Amino acid sequence: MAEMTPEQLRLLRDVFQNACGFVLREDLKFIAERRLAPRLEALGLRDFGTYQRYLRFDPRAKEELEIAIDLLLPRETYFFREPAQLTTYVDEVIPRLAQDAVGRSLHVWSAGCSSGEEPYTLSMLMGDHPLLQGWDMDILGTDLSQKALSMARHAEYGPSALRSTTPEQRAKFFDSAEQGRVKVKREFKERVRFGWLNLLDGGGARLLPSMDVIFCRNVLIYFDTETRRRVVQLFSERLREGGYLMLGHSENLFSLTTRFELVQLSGDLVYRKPRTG
Amino acid sequence: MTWLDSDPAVETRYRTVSETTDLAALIEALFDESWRVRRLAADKLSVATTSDTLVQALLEVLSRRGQTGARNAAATALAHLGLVGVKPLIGLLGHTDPDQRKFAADILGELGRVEASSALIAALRDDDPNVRVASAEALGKTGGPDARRALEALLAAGPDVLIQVSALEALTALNAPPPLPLLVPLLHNPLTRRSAWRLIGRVRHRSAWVLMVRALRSKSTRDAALLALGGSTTPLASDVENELSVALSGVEDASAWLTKCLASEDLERRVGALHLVRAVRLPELSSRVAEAAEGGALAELSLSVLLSLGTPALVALLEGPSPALLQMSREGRSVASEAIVENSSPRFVGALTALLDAGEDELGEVAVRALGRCESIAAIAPLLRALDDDAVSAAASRALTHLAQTFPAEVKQSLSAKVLGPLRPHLVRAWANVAGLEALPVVRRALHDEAEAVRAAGAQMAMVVASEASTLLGMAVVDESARVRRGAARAVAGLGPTTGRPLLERLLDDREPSVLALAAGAAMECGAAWATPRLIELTTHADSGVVLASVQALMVLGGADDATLARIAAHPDGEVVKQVLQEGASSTAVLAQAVKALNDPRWDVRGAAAEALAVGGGVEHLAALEIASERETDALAHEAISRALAALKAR
Repeated sequence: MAEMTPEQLRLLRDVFQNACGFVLREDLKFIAERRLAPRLEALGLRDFGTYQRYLRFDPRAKEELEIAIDLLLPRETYFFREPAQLTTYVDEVIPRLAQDAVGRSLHVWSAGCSSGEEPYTLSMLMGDHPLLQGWDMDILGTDLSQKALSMARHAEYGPSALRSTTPEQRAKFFDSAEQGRVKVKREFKERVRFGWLNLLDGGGARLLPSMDVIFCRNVLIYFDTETRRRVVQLFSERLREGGYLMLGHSENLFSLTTRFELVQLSGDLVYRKPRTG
Repeated sequence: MTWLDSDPAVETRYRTVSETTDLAALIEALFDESWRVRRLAADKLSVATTSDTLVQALLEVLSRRGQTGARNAAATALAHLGLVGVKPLIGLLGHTDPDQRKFAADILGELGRVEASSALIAALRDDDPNVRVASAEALGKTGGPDARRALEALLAAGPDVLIQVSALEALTALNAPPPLPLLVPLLHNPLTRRSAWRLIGRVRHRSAWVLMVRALRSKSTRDAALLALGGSTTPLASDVENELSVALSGVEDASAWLTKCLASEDLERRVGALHLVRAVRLPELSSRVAEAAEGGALAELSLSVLLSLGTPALVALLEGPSPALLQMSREGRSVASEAIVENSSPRFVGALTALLDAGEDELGEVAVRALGRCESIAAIAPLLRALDDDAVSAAASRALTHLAQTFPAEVKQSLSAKVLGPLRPHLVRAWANVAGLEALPVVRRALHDEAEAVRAAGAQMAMVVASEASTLLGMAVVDESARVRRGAARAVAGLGPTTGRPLLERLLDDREPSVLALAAGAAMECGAAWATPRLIELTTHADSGVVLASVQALMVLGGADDATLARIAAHPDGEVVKQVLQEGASSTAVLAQAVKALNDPRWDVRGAAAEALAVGGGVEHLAALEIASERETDALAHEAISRALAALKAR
């Protein structure tokens, strides 16, 4: 198996960082070698230096870049992940949103949704919420991996995605599929839509409607500080005043921006876009 | 719902702070009663332009006893200021108020600058115990030439346990274990035990191993001893593993204990548990071992442990009504998959076939790769099916080619029936690889196929039927699809520089840059020296990919004069420049460009320039390298410049 030299690792890191802000850390060298080795084999390339040039110059470079990033980003996701935060969302954030909303509609964005487990989880929780019955709910999941989005649209999942799902939730929100897999029930699937979006593509994001809530959990940790700043600024632009930004439990906006205010709820700390005036 | 900051007045102050850049206002906000406002102010101050005035203002806030919130906020801001904060904070270590001195030591530790080391060593003799502890901890972050000796002295000083723990932790942070006689007494004190064991693990001597093995036998010391094992991710020597295995053999709850340790948040604990699982060989923990790779840093160790557990561990992952592999996290799966592919065997065919049918693309590809390596005839049928699945067909083609090395006749026979039906790109590739000359009718058919992907595959595989390759590639070279012409360009080098010349000439005149780049590569590969003039022309092409491929070919074929090389070395694309620097250091024109490239904005170009000068340069280049060395901020480029300087000085 080809070994990645420190220089090749840096060059690949530069390519990924420019493309989507993803930082290939040095301690991930082993993982990167292992996960990208089949790509070298498939493309008939001799080493990672040649692969780096392929990613820059080959006509299929964009397609390959997406494959590479998809292989390297952990994208760990499953239904009802981080239940404490979801409880806070259901018990404390939704009532606040319902109270503030103009009209009976909510726009929620799951940024970096990978294969769709998070937006579908939100659809299940919101569709089930007594305060939101009869509301128009638009849940958008975006990701830069077309492969992940294709899985998300298919809405069929294996046991790994149900690690945190109770038998009751499984019965209520999923239909059984072949090979012990499950499919998201139509009523929870149909209010979720998906889009192909690089979070560094401000132009693309500006086409999105003004959001009431943005979920971006365990995505920023893979970005460098500058990219985080840009992405958080984008979130600030896309959120309506008083809207909420939900990050992963180990993430915060310290040293990134002052555009959000930290609000302590009884179950969790969340960020909110301040109202002006 | 609890809204801590529901007070509108607080909201107003928060907004005021968020909108201001005035330092005085931000300093004032550090005293706000709301922690949110204080934190926001500290956040803004830590990214503000640093000045002596700002540092002094923050130090002044630190001095306000009774203003805990403000002082903490000021400390947070100071810890982000860098070198400018060091000198004033060293001054603060001499303050009359011990509270101020402790703050100074804490912040100096956060800053982690070696310039503070001597002052912190002096502060280890402070009258106040809190200042001594904070200084010891800070030394673990700053390091420094005398830090180790000073910290070791604290271990011997006793009986202040708190300072001993701080010294132990600091020595761990510095990876500087003290002499064993200093450490051993601290293993018996429940308060110093954990920290002392952690350092024992960093002692690379059998005496330390003996202590560790002994401690693993006892329930009361087992957890702490595990931390000693967790200090290194390098596999242990086999004799040490044997001793560990013996030590744990009498432990009843070893499996349950290790399961818990493998899932620990503490990385060192996980590493220790991985070492032990390898030593005691518990294949039933295979999925836990794979999951221990969470976060990525332990992937290599997890994989090596998994492989060491052999086939039973893989059985535990793959087999059963609900295989563990399907339940695992993505990172765990990734490690487990590598082990399965690497140690695939005939007994896994059934489980791998089921995995292929499980409906998950990633696992499907793993199954295909493993089936290709399992050395079983039974793998042929599922791999043939996989050729029809777009998600795994490329891997299936490679797997069948691999399997054909063991079962050539069987794989060929199975594929021969399939190629009678509709052709698909990876089917054509697999068949050509396996059937060789007999593949001619299928390759010819592929080149007439309606789908350009199939025609491209036909072109790419034309060389397996060498006698007809020229004719077959002739069809591909004039195909209207660039994809097919690219397939031809990938294969044409096989015809050699003379037979292939008419085709290669045509490809070198293609209108599509991607075809041109591959044609230049083919010219290089087959040694087509006649193509040099055209390759020189192509170095002025607008597409950098074409230029790069042409430069690579020219460097191998020769024929580019100094003027051409100098022109190419000034190309706007750094990758092109790097190529010339890496392969043209024998040319004085390239070396002259290398000196200029020491100022290139890209670190890798600067590094390549230094490397070129190291092998081709002389003393006349020393001055340029000296200047570059002083200015260089990138570690890898600096390393290359230093090597070049050393090489030239030695010359």
